[in-house]
Amino acid sequence: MSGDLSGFSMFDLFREEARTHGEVISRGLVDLETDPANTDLIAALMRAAHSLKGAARIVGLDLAVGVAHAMEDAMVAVQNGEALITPNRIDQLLAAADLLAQLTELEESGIDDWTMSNVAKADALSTDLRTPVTDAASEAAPAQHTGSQDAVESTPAPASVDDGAVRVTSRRLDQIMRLAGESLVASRRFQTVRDHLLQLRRRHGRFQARLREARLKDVEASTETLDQALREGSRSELELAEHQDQLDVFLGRLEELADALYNEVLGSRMRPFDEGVTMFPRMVRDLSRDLGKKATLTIEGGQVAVDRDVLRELEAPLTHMLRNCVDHGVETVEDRVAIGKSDSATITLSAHHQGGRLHVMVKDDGRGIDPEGIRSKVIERGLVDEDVASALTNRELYEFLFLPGFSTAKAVTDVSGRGVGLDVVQTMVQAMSGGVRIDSDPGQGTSFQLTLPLTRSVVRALIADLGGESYAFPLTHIDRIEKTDATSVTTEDARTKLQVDEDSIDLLDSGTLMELDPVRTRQDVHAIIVGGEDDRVALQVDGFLGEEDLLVRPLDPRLGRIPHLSASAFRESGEPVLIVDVEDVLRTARRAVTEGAFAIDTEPSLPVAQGPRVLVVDDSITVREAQRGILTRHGYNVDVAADGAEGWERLQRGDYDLLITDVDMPGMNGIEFVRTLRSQERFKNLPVAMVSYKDEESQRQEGLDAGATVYLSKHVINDDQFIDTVRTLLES
Amino acid sequence: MLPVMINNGNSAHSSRENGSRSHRGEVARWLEAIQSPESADLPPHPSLLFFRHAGTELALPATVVGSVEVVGYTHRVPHRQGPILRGLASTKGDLVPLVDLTAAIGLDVNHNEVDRVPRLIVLCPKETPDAQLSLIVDLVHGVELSDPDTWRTPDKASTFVKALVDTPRGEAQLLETTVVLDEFAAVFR
Repeated sequence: MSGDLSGFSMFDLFREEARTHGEVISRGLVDLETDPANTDLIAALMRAAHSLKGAARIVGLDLAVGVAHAMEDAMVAVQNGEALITPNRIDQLLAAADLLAQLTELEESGIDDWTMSNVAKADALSTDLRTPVTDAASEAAPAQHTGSQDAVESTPAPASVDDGAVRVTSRRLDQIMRLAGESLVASRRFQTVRDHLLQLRRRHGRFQARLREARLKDVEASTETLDQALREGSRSELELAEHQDQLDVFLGRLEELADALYNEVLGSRMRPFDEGVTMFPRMVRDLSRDLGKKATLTIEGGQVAVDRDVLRELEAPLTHMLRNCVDHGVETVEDRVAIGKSDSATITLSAHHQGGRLHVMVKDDGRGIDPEGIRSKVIERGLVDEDVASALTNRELYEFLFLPGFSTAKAVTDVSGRGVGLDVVQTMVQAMSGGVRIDSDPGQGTSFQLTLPLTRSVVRALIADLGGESYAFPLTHIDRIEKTDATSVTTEDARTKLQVDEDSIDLLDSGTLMELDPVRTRQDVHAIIVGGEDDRVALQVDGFLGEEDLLVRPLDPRLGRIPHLSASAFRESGEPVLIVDVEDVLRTARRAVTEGAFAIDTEPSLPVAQGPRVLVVDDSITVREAQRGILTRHGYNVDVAADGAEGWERLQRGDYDLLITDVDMPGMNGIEFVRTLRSQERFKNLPVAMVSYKDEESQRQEGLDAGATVYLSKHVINDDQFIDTVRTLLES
Repeated sequence: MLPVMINNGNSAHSSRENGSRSHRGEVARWLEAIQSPESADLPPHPSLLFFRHAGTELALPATVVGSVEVVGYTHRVPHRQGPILRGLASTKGDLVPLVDLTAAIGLDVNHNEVDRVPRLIVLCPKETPDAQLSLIVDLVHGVELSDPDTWRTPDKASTFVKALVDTPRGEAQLLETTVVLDEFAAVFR
């Protein structure tokens, strides 16, 4: 916040200052616990508490003044050697910091209520903080502080770093971003003008050539006129050349300016990784303390630039993974010492750029994951048979950890162990067009590796022609492109294959995939190869139109989530282009492979099944596949859809006996979906099971009110209750 | 009927850019004049945008019309194509759902408009500016004032038609904006 502050109230300014000081205090206290003799740190904490006290006094927040004063006194006592820094004292100081942090989220009108409801708490904290701790050995057990869970949930949002930056609302920033992008696009339209001038110059040259020819044929009659024409023509040509040169200079400068503006604005969206993860050292500290463990979090790559949207969206999955590390990965102090490890575990959260992607890793030096434990669990739950399970690699086994309800934890705890979390992590990361992978070395530790786009605002993409329209394929997802002839295309086991070097890759018709016209060009094959080593797919398009930087725009939310598309953009020419969600295309391709029919939805209507047909609609691929596996094993014919919109489309084309749908889905959610289908006479009596993690009574009632026949918790998917319910619904 | 300015819609320009700018400018001036609270001289009658599509004279309240534009770039929407949603239309730097009224409100699909000068009518309701919608129509006449006392109830009940309005070109159906926006958006999914 800088410059003209006339638009801010005193309380606005206080909030801003409290946020900055609170951040310093919270981070400093966690560091102080591991380095209690750090006098610089103690001095910094004291200054922050003092400044906070002064700011609170100015706005008349006496309660906050008292608490900040007590914090300052506590730090002074430490500084003077009159008190010790112990975990309990850190707890008390953090609790005080949390209390003051509430003010940063408070509206001015709510001050009185906040004061009334926190008088007792503030008094107790002030008393605790003024009681000197002089004997560290007396602290045998963690203090009963306000609770790490609360602390984690209420940790204030990361404050912007104090680098002199002006605080800009995200709405305004988005607008600047849009304008910058448009100016970049507009500047490139001058290319067309320059091309026209070039054409004109060539035409003019031809005109002169004809004049010269005429002069040779009719020398006596028109020599003078023709000479004049030639002179005029020469002058025009010179002028045109000058204008063209000027335009070139202007164009170059305009492009430079637009690029600079664009990069500047894009840079303002980027924040250091550190800024989005400041709350985690505190979270790990509190959580490990609650669990009677010792763990510290080290952050590496704190200055790596990350798009603010990506940074914000990373918070939830990182929280899940770090909690998982502390709860499952890290051993107790006794266990670590017994096997020769240091008593305190180290968890590392790191970030770096590689290959145009952001790589984030959460790594611990704990007990690791036993692959045999997962193998046994997989067999026990009937997810695969013993033969298949015995052939699974460790990496394949770790993939099961992303299934909802799948946990190898022996005990369910409040922190984790219910199997809820990793599937959510995967879903969230996929929603960011990223991926997550687990690696583990039993006895040595586990790592979660996230791969994400650097920014969601701009993407460099290959533009492909599909049915005369432009579609963009982000370059980060493209392995290579192939332009070949029809002889490279073969058919194997009813699957169309493209020969690429030594490999035979499944070839998908992008037109059919998008439910548009099939690809027109059959002689020249233009294919975009996407996917990883094990699941490469070739997407056939009508042609390649080149590479461009695209300013990503969300699609109109009224369209819902459109399969295989992620966003829209404008090309340099001003032509609209739709951006392909390659990850979603790959998911569809994998599904098609597992269904044994590689042609994707090529039929105008779905085949009518012999037995009960069930449609499973869920945006989590793991939930969908888990349900499909269970239902298929019980003899049902199963189709799946990734959201309400796709489900509604399939429902209208198929002939289903039962619908199982999730509630929370992007685009059309489960409630809207069921309401929509119930409004149609044809689906009035279709049994519908709504399945969700939301299992509170009010949420259950909302589902039933929308038209669901039954409402189940997702926790029962792997239980008999799930399949029993399916049977009951179908029998009824 | 109190005509303010009428554009016969036939002054189409061969250049898309010129045509768009000129036409948009005229409509913007009409809207500004009629919607401006300072226009005290104007009678307090609602202004309507009159247009023709599939052989039917139609009208919309001018207050919901953001602009009238020459049809520029459009793009189909995979998995969402249908007779009503024709795609996305590029308009003033935005991509707005493009609706064909023919199927949407049950007009004559076989009608062949001889004087066709296709235009995009971009609906931008003040209350819900994010709910923009573009309609592709055969011909735009222009904005005119209309006295509600002269409006008639349609003989045949229709969800989309609010009233019938007499014009020099014949009877025009005044569309019910709220229903149009809600019903059309419902088919986008």
